[in-house]
Order: sequence, then structure tokens, then C-alpha cells
Amino acid sequence: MNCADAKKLLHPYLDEELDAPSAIAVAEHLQQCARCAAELERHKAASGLIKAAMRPEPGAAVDLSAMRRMLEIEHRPAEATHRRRWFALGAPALTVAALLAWALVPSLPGSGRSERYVYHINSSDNATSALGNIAFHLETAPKAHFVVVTHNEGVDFLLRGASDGAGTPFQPRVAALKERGVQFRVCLNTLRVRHIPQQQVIAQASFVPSGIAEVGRLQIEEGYAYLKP
Amino acid sequence: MNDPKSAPDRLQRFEQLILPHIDAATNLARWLMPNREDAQDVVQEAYLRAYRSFESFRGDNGRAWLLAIVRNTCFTLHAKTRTHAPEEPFEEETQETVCETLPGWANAAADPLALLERRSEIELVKQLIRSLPFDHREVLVLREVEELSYKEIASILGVPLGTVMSRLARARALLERKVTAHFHEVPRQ
Repeated sequence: MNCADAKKLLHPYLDEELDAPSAIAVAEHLQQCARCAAELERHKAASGLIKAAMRPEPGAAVDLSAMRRMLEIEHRPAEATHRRRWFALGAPALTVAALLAWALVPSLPGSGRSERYVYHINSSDNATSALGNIAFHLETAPKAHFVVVTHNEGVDFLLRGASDGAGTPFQPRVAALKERGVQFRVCLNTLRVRHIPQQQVIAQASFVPSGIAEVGRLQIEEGYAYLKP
Repeated sequence: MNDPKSAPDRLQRFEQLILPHIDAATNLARWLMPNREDAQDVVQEAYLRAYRSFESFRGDNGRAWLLAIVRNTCFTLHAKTRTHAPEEPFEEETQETVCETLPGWANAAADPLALLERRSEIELVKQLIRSLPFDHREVLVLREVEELSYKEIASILGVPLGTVMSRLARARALLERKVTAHFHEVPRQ
């Protein structure tokens, strides 16, 4: 087997999709050819990175018990008749599902588009009150989606060891909100300009290329309402 | 064995065979849809569709069957989000580009320092995967995360096996090209 043939088979070889004779031929070639062997190693490393990047995010799954209740409703013939009537009225399928969920499954989002709020923080001076606001907001709108976008001095409260004026650390409060689904995003531009290494940011936060662009994007593309604490 | 058509067993069977794959369904939708909220809507709708057509399930592979429905739901509900593969032809040579700038990419065995960098590295790979066309993202998630066979992927996508192979190669090569390009661009920023 020559290099050109082997190269074509490297991905299926790695994916264990080759029949035995082809797999043996590739393996033999790899023993003799350092270049192809190195390429295989590179594919392996790339595959590892892709797996790590694409695997499910913890806590991202749809609420299983809510799904179960939705199916139970679907299962009951009475409600099914209702649904067919909605179909006859020409409502799009998604609206029907959402409506069904709204009417009968309390823990599913209230409409096709759930409430979404972006909190914009560019100074950590008011981080304490911002975290308080979000906690209260969460009480009033437990099903809403919350994203906190930080840039400039707003990133400071998401750095390791950060604490408020009274010396109370921020991280436990951030972790508690994160636990309840609030997402914290940190501006990479800010980190670069202020020479803050990414490792200094607490694990509860994730990164976006530009904080200000993210605030805009969430409003335009994802229908988030803008809030400035 | 229970008859899937008998009503009392149907829900129970569905809960046993299809519901456990909710993480896989959510992850696929998440990679195919532009944001988390739309992905959740898709999963919800896909489960309703799956339940309604549960009679057609033959009981061999619940995960693959469900993922096919999720994928089709993404298509029909949000067809407009589909991005097409770039016009430029795929060049075999690009596979030879050696990328030395991303440690986890270039070296299988990462040293401790490289591990520190890995978190932001993964974030970068995530962003670059998001910029790939729809049909590239779907083969990558089905192969790399779900570890489905080429045959199973072919049946989910409704394409020949050879197409799965070439799409996977294309997706991996394009991603590698983007990673390399990203690091060449950085000094100019």
C-alpha cells in the first residue's frame, strides 16, 4: 500500500470502519511509514478535541420529568382531540406543542419563546446589587433564561478570589446562580487588553470574543431583553 | 414481548426505549440549532413526533431512530438556519497542513502546561465547529460524540455510506484548516 491509498483510509481506520484485510494493510503501512503514522496521531488528537468540544454540556438537557408529563398528556385521547382541533385551525406544529405545554404542563416554557434577559455589567462596583437583582428576578420568573455578560471592569467579580467591599467572596453567589441556570460570560477582548490570563477567571464563567458584541447579538438574534443593573 | 400498539404498554415502552436518549437528542439539536432555546424547542417537538410515530419503531436502535427524528425536526422547523457548504472545492492537500499552534491538536499526549490551555482551546474548537456548515456539524456529532457507525449515520441522514465517509473527511479537514487559519490570523489582530 502506498501513502496516497493509506491517507484515504486513515479516518475509516481510526473509526474502525475498515474490513479486516484493509485494516491489516493500513497497519502494515503505518509501521513502515513514519509520515503516515504521524498523520494518524494528528487525526487522533483532533478527534479527541472534537469529542471534548462537542460532548453534551452538563445540565443542558431538557427537563426529563416535564417531558414525561408532556407525553402522558399526549397519551390521553381527550387532550389529543383538542390538539387535532388546533391543527385543523392551521396553527403551526410548534405553536401547538407550546400551547399544549403551556396549558397542561406547568414546568415547560410558557410560549414558543421563553422570557430571556441579558444583564450587562461593565463595572464590578455594583456586582453585589446585580447578583441580588438577578436572584430576585429569578424568584419572579423562575422559567426565564438569564445571561450575564461582563466586560471592562465588569469582569473583575468573576476572577478567582474576588470579593466585595465587605470582603465577602463573589464566587459562592455566582456558583449558586449558575446552579439555577444563570450563565456568566466574560469578554475575551477585555482579558487581552487588561492582560488577565483566562485561567484567572472562575470556572462558572464562559468566554465570548467580545462582551459588547454578545450583548448586541443576544438582543438581535436571540430576543433577549436588555437590563443594566 | 409487549405489543407496542397496545395503548397501556406504549407509553411505558416509549419511556424505556426512547426517553433515556434525551441527552443525545438535546446535544444534537444544540449543535444544529443557532441557540439553546431553539434547541430545547426542537427536542420537545421531536419527542412529540417520535411518540406519535412510535409504531414505526422496530426496536433495534432507539437512539439512532430518535436522532433521525431530531435531525429532521431541525430541518423542517428551522430550515432557514441551514448553512450550505462553501462553494470552494475540497482539496485533498489541505489534510497535509501540519498544525503546530494548537497543542491538543498536534500532540496526542498533552503536557501539564498544555492541559492548562486546553479549556480555552476547547472553547475555540467549539466556536470553529459552529462556523461549519450544517451537514458537517451533523456528521461530526453523530460520529465523534454518539460514536455511531458509518452505516447508522448513513441511515439517519438518508445518504449512501460513501457520502458519510467523504463528508466526515471534509468536515475534519475543513475544521483543521479553520484552526490553522485562526492561529495565523491572531498576530494581525
